[in-house]
Amino acid sequence: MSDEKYWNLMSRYLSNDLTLEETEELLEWMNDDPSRADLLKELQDTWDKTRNYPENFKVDTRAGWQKVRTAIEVQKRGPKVRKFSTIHWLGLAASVIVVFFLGIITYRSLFKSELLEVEAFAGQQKEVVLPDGSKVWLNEMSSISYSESFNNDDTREVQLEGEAFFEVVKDSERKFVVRTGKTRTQVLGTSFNVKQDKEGSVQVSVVTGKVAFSPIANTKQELLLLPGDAGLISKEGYASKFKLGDENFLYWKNRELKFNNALLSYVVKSLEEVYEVKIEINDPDLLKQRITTSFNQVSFHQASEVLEAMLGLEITKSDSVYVVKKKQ
Amino acid sequence: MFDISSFEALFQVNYASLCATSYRIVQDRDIAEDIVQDVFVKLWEKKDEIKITTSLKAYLFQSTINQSLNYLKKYKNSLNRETAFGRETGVDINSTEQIMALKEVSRRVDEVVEALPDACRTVFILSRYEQLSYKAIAEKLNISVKTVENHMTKALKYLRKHLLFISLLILLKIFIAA
Repeated sequence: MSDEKYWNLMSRYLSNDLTLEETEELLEWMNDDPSRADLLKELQDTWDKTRNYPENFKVDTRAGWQKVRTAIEVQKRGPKVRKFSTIHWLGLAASVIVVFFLGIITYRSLFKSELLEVEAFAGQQKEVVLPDGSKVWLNEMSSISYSESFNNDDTREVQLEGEAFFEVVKDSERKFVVRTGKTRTQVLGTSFNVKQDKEGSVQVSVVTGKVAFSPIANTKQELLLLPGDAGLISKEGYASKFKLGDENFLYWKNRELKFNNALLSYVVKSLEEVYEVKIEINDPDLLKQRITTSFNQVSFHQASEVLEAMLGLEITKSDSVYVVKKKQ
Repeated sequence: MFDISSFEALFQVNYASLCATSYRIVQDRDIAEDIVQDVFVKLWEKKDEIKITTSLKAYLFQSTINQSLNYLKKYKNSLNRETAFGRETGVDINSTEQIMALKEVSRRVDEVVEALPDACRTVFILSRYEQLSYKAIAEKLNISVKTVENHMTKALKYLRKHLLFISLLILLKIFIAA
């Protein structure tokens, strides 16, 4: 009897369905005999092993969508026929085929105003002026596409892959929407940066104006972003908001780094990132030094000279690493 | 509420995980896909009428779980029966052939879960993957909390016994390989 009871407590423990008193009761029971703790641990392992059930489960989303779409289209056309004779079935089959082709034709004609696409290849950056006058700076290996009828649609909509900075012309009648991965960014007129990383998460950083950023599938999770805000939506669709520490997220576009009373450790990290170099500082006191400066379109060599002069440093290259020391 | 392109996006994003959710309950891939497609078609039909109080995603998962449970009740009539471990043959511990055939450990986990009797597995699935409380499970399946408790204990004992065996097999394999 009591055995059953504790099995039930252990199951409830795994299911996260225990009250505080029950938890205490379970703990006491385990205290009486160390093998009981082992048993619970074993059960926890069992529980964990089933985490990915069903394993390797794959479905054909495209085929699934085709079926749903066809069902929706069929439903749209007229009332349902009640009794089905063979003739009716043939009729239905014929109309399904007709509807299917009609669907394709409408689909085609809707998108006949084909998509226009601009792509920036590796090592390239492109500036695009959209039909409404809004400007887009495309980072390398990124592309943007929009409908030919962009200017006539109710919403100004673009699809982005990769990273781009947007300067959107204000139009209070027609919102401007950027779709990236599984996210949607909506504005009226502002400037902001959209960046999709390789894993599929998307970050939006706002410079001016107001931006609404949300997963496409769940607009309830919308983040409202103001200047200096950034929003991040992970590939699983979790949305989070944070304050931008600096404006250096735009380095790729204007080749300018600004530091305002920033820690040297942070400055070094930024330099490593944008110049793709390795920098080493072994003196812990140096890392805590603060600096205010900006580097505008300078080479790494020039930037390191500025740092040397400002903080009394010596930066030497040994192998492929730059070593930072206090000047003797 | 939404247009066809956002509806398609909603489908793209959620279809696979909804199918997996349904599959855990109905144990048949085609039926799982049918159920999920139907959930989407119904949502589209009623998109102007339904009031969704939680998120759209939560709504989709709720409908999928309910439809899957309905399927079990209607067509398999298996939820009310106290069935035995009918498919236990799938996990025969003593057969060396079984051991030889064992390639994918993860596949074995699937097999063990699937060898649970329907009612027992459904209770386990709802607790394990849908994080429902025992009370909520009892209400959903129209059974007593006591029955939920019994099913859970039964499922855990069974899983422990057979998954422990799998761990031993992995150890054995490592041992042989070394």
